[in-house]
Amino acid sequence: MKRRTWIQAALAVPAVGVLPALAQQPPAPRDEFAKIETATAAERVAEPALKFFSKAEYAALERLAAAILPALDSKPGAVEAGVPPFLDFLISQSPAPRKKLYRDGLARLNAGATLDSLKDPWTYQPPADPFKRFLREAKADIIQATFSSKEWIEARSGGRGGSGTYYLAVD
Amino acid sequence: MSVKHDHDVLIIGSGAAGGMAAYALCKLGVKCLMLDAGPQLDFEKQRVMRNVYDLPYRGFGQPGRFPHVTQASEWDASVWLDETRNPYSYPEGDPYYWVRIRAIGGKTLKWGRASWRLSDYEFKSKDHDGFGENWPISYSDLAPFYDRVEPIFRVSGRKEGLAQLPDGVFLPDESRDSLCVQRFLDSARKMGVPTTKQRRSQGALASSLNLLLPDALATGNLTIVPNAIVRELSATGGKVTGASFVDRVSKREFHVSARAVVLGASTLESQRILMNSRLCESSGVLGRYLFDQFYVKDVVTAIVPEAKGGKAPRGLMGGGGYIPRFRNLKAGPAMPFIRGYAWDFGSGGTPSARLLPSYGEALLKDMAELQGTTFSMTAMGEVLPRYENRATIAPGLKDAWDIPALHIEHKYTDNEFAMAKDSMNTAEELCHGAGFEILSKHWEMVPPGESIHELGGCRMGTDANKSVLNAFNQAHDVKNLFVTDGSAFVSGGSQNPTLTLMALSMRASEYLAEQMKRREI
Repeated sequence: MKRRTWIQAALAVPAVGVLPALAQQPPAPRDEFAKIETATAAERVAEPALKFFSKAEYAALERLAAAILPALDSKPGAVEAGVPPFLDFLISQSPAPRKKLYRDGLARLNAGATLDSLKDPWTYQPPADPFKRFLREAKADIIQATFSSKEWIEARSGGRGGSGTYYLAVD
Repeated sequence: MSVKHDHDVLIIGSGAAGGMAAYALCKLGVKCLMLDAGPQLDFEKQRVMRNVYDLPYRGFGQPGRFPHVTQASEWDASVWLDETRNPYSYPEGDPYYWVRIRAIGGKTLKWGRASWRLSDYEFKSKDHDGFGENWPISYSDLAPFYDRVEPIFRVSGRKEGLAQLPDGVFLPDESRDSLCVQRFLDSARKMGVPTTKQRRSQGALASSLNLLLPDALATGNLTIVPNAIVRELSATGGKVTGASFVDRVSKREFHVSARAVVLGASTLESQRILMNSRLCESSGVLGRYLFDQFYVKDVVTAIVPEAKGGKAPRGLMGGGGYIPRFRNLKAGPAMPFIRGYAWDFGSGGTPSARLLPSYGEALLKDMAELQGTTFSMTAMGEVLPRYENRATIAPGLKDAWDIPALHIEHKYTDNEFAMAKDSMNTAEELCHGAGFEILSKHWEMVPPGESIHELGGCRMGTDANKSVLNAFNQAHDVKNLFVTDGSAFVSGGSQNPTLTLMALSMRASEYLAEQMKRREI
């Protein structure tokens, strides 16, 4: 039974005074069901299959993620937040120009390029140099993926925050 | 089969324009049938609370799903229109971002609620600078309708007595300004720049769905058909007779008849319907003089220095406001552009990490240092209505229901570029005057269409050779056809247009009801 269908069924139970026998049943385990339908359930029990980056590219991505948002003061960083495997998934589904930007950028990192351009003042127009553009986009992606991870939200705010109204599919 | 013909007016669209038409007509006893291309959303069933980490893409959204809808998030992706089934085209290199919602309530389900009146600086803009055309109405014609729309939408605000931003019937906003906002207002005052509180519709939901349609339905005079995608209007003898539509889900075809039609399907959809119906073509300007309002998002992001390191004293940060157009209102220093722009401003946020020139531990320290210190401004400028900017039917391009789709041509010109640049420089000056530190500045406008303030294409006018609609939103060519959405605008100023198009729709609808009563339609 889908979660919302189940909740609707639960809510439809008549009031206590009407059916005392039903009211004596143990409370429905709504919280337990709420834990099931999540996109991250699989991540917590299984290793994600890496589909896009090569081993060398993935190693560079891990180093980059750790450099941009390291673990600090017992708080998780990007690697602890599972960002590299998530980005492997996200980039695998992205349009071709973004895939190329990442692949070429990670190759430059493996060839010894540095992160110095991340200290340049921000400009609205993206840098013309593809590697600088890659670093800028990867920084933004790594930060967003970290900040929206369960690990980061629980460590930073005890699990509060990061929730919102989600619209289910119409049809 | 019996002829199903017990309604007087067919209303196409259920958002701000169509919703207001139903509200006004049904209250006057007119039997209305409303078609909307989208479904009836059931918020109880279709909205749930989720954690961002429980979304499949951690809030990034499915890559490439909405290439032209920057407003769409992974949270609300199912609300925005799917471009693969609803395609449109634009010239290579000149992208147009057409942002659409199809559902009962239309874009009022998600609108920003900013509710500003236009003034005679817009209605009589040609008189001020000689460009374009005046509207066929003056502010005084529309003011009584603004007076009635604002209370329905519970618009809050503060009366200022500004000629370029007429006051309205507001829920009074008497909130105190934070100390940083007071400093900014002082800086503006010294530069002769007017300021005011936001004017915004209040409430948990401020939509046609909850503020217009329930009253219309309560009269017993309104029937709503969701999932009805209009293919074309039918016409004979210079009058519209109804509309053909296709069911969104089953793709079954239908036709409905009516004595009159009110088109409120949205600026571009209404033009598409008219073009596919081969109606209103005599002036040659249907689809032309398309414009919007340009945005420069975060034209300036500044830091309030006293708030750094979490040291902001109580009352320093928070709140915001609005600066209405102040350029070219009267004789003064020559500007490299005509018309003007406005700003929204707000304080108390934390700058995006992408703006900070650091990474690693330094980035985390910068973020902690700057938490809650931001003062930011977004510019919104008038775009000139130009003959060259237009919508046409795209040859060979059709949607999933086999209905011809639009090709949209819209470019910004030197006037908009000069205005955007001035908005950046002046915003920086205002922030410096308040003692703020500039973190970033730019004058890059969002692509045409992205502001979701697309207007024009069926403009009003007194001359049937230069306009599609008369002063009551009535088609010059087809007397029982009214177009009451943003396509009727002649010019738009820098004020968000929804309040104005609702006032226009109320005025046009009451005129239509009167004409029907007199048997002139």
